[in-house]
Amino acid sequence: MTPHSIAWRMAWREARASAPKFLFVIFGVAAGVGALTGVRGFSAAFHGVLKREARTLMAADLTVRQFSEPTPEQLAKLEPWSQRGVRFTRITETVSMMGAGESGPPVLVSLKAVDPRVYPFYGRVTLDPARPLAEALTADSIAVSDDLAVRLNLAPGSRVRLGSADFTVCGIVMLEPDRMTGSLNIGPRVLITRAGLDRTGLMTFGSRASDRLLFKLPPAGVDVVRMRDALRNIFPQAQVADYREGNPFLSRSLEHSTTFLSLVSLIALIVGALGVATAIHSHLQQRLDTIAILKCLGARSGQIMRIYTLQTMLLGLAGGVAGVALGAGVQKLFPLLLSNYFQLGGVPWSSAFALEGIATGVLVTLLFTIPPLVAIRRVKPALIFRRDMAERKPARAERMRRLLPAAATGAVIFCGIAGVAAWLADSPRMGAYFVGGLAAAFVVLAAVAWLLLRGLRLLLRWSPVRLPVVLRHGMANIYRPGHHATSVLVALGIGVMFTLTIYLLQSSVLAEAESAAPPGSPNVFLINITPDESAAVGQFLDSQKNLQSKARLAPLVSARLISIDGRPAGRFERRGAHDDHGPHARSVTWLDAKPADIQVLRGAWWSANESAPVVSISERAAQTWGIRPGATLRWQALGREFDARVVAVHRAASLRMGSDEDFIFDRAALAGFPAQWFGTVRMPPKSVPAFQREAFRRFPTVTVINVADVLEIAQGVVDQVALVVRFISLFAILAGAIILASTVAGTRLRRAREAAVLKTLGARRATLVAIFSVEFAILGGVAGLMGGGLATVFSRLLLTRLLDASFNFEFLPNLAAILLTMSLAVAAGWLASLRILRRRPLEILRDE
Amino acid sequence: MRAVTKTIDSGARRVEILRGIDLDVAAGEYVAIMGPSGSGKSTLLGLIAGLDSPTSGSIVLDGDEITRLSEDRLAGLRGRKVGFVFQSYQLIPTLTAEENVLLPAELAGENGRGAAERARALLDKVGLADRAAHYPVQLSGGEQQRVALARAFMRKPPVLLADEPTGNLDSASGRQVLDLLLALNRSEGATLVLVTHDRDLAGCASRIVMLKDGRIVSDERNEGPAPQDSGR
Repeated sequence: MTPHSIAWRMAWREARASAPKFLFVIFGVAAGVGALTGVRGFSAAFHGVLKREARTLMAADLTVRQFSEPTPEQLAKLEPWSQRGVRFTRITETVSMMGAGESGPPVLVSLKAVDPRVYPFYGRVTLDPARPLAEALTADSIAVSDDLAVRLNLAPGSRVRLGSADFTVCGIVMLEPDRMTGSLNIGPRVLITRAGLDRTGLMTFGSRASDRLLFKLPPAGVDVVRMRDALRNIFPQAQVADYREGNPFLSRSLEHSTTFLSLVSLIALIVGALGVATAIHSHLQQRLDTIAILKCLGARSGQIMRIYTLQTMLLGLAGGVAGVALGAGVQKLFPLLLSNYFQLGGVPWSSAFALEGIATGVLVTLLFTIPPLVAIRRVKPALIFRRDMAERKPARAERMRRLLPAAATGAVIFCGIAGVAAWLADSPRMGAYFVGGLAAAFVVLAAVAWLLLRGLRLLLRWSPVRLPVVLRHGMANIYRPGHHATSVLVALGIGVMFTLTIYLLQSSVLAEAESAAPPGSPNVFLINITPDESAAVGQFLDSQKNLQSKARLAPLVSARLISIDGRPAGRFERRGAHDDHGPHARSVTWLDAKPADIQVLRGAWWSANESAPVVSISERAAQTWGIRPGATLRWQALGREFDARVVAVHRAASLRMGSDEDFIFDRAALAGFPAQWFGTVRMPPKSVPAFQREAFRRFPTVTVINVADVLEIAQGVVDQVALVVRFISLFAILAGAIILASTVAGTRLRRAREAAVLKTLGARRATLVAIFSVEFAILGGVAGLMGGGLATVFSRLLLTRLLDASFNFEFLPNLAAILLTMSLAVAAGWLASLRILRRRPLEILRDE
Repeated sequence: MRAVTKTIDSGARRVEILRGIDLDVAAGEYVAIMGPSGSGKSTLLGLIAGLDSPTSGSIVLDGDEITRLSEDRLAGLRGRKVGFVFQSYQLIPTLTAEENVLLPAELAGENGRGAAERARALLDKVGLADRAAHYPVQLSGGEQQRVALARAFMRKPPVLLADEPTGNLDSASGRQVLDLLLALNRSEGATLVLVTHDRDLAGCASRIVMLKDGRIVSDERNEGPAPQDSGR
């Protein structure tokens, strides 16, 4: 027999004997591992889907995407490729209003015009009733998404109005293969033919639309890389992608989301590991005699540590395996949570991520059990003779020296966690930030927990009023010897803190978006107004009786920035991640007078009699391009070039849609260029639906956007994201509750003895129930309070420092957090204590 | 043992358990240590075994000065040189009788087959060959103490220490255990230091040391019946 085999034997047998106690611990680890494997497994599977189904998701081998129509010259350059067998088709996507009779206001929809004879090149559009798309979609018919059908009460055969034409609904779109890769997806989907789009009259010069060209290569003879390079030459302003890249935007978003959710899952795992550490500590306290005997018999500390390290690994492994099973379920749930935006079929399970999750679970568990394991070294064999007598209290220097191993193990733990976080986030910096934030939260929570325990002790000792017996015993239970109140408070508090932070961020961000507009700014926007309609639309707006501020109509001209002070615009280093300031065509506008919602930051607005074209640029454009007042910008529109001098840098105080507020010219600068117009009004929200109905009746090709609708869509997206994050962070709370139950289970014998003695002295069952409930409720309530406090602080910091939003303290969510955590703690505590009440006193005392 | 003292803090007060103990035990001797409850007998035994460290003084065990050794070195020394029998058996509850007996050898990394044979032989000597696969919870108090005896002799220690080995047993079982202890000691050959308040047990010793209030009050060759003590 080797020392290793005896260690395994003892570790296994002790674990088996203590299985009920360790069950909770295993569940705690499983919660964290389940979240982690679910998130990462889903992400990897999603990546796999993106790769495998790349052609289907793109509905093509290559795509070209731009916000302007392809020119005849560009189309002519595609001809040689067509002769080599390359097929292509054009898709146009835009937004418009759609009405269905007089029953309600028109709805903002995302139109997608396709050639149903060839679209899609890969995958299938599935309709209900089932029919081939080429057969169902004609110049007079459209297909609608199911949410639009519900909203407008549509069915196959219903009549609707789009622009200036009527259409028949031919079916409900059940599956659209390239929905994820589309543009302008801000409303429910409507599929239409190109002929149908022409009938609507929506597409005029300058209309807001996105064009996509889909390409299918022949089986052989055309290399995708060469084709891609050729397309980049033919369409220099466009985004060209091929199926091998998948969808870069989606992939990037998926990576960021995976990193974030992985870190949230790591929090859940850490909380679970904290539970393991607590349970192992309790377990070792109960095994002191065994440890002392082993030392008497000649065992070295290292040999004993091996036994309990193996036991910890067994627990971590069991939790990891259970977690993987849980993670498989989480993986299946994600497609449902995201079903509004992504249509995913089956998401296959990956064994690699399962192994990764198990390994992470074991590693994190081992890290957190280092302190109780190292403490084995301090167990003296003489404990067998003299358990209750303490040695002389060591001198301060000795006490400080004994703290060094604890400090060292703490540093090892945090370095280990930082390493795991850095690996999950694929970023050492992120790992450092994560562990720094977590350490700060732990320290604060532990400090508050310590204060609570001291406070309770002092309260019970010095209270001028004799508290009821139930309260006294319940409070005293919290700081009894062998308590783990600190661990429970930290674990629960971390979970509450995280979940509540997400909620507070979500509601503050949305409230900020709603209140972003200062009083008097528009809440309804009208876009795609043709020059011919502009006068009539202006009169229509002026005739509105209940406007809260003067209506405004402004022109939009499509122009391209060529150079800045003589240097080509394409050569400028653009600062900022979200670059939409590339040298492609953009909409610019002109104004005569400066409107009230525009604030000049540098320079001065132009006067009425400028001798040459002038322009004011937004603060964002000035920062991105490094442009100052006095710079000369050269532009091209409709083949004509002109210069404009920058006279001011401005900031728009309100949301502006349909226009590009980055470059505002004086009228003379854009004279002679054809323009589309956009309008803004402000009216009571209740009046908007009627206004939309009337505007649609008179100007069916004008898109009327209710800001409230847009905010609702934004809210929907934010809600969806928050739902996913809250779902994962709930695992952290679950792990905290499991730790509470585990701690309660670990002290079951002591509670049972106490219950037996109290019953012997006349306490009724209701009294015992009340005592235990007070204990659990205080733990849960304080955890909720601490977690809420930290969530308030963190969300304030994030909102004001990172998101540039304002913060308002919200009382109700904090109160809800306290009450819910209290309820959860009481439920978890009772789950672990039920058996105590049922046993008769003598049964328990006889076992002593 | 030279000028050995042991002081501890119990709550707010300081307790001197042993005060200036000087004691020599020759190889092969059987020494009984007696004294009233709280006289420091068990502490004395624990210090000899290196289970605790004295507040002052020095202790030499079979030629090794053990007072300032580290815990791990003491553990190794205990494994090689000391067999210990506790009043409350102190078997490992998750190991069988045979595994408990084997434990000292396994901790020392000794070869399995030879050690296993010795363990079985020792269990046979204590009359428990047929209970080798039983766990402590399945054994009576006397049987557990016999297993503990076998374990104490597993590595043929030169020194055997027994702390009230029959204290938790009825008289019949206690007699049986004592006979086995003495028989094993004779056959294995070891220095035996036994703490007891049982006069019969002490009567078999070649020397009786009386402790009172942490001091040795008498240390005499045993010519006849054991002296009176106030007992526990």
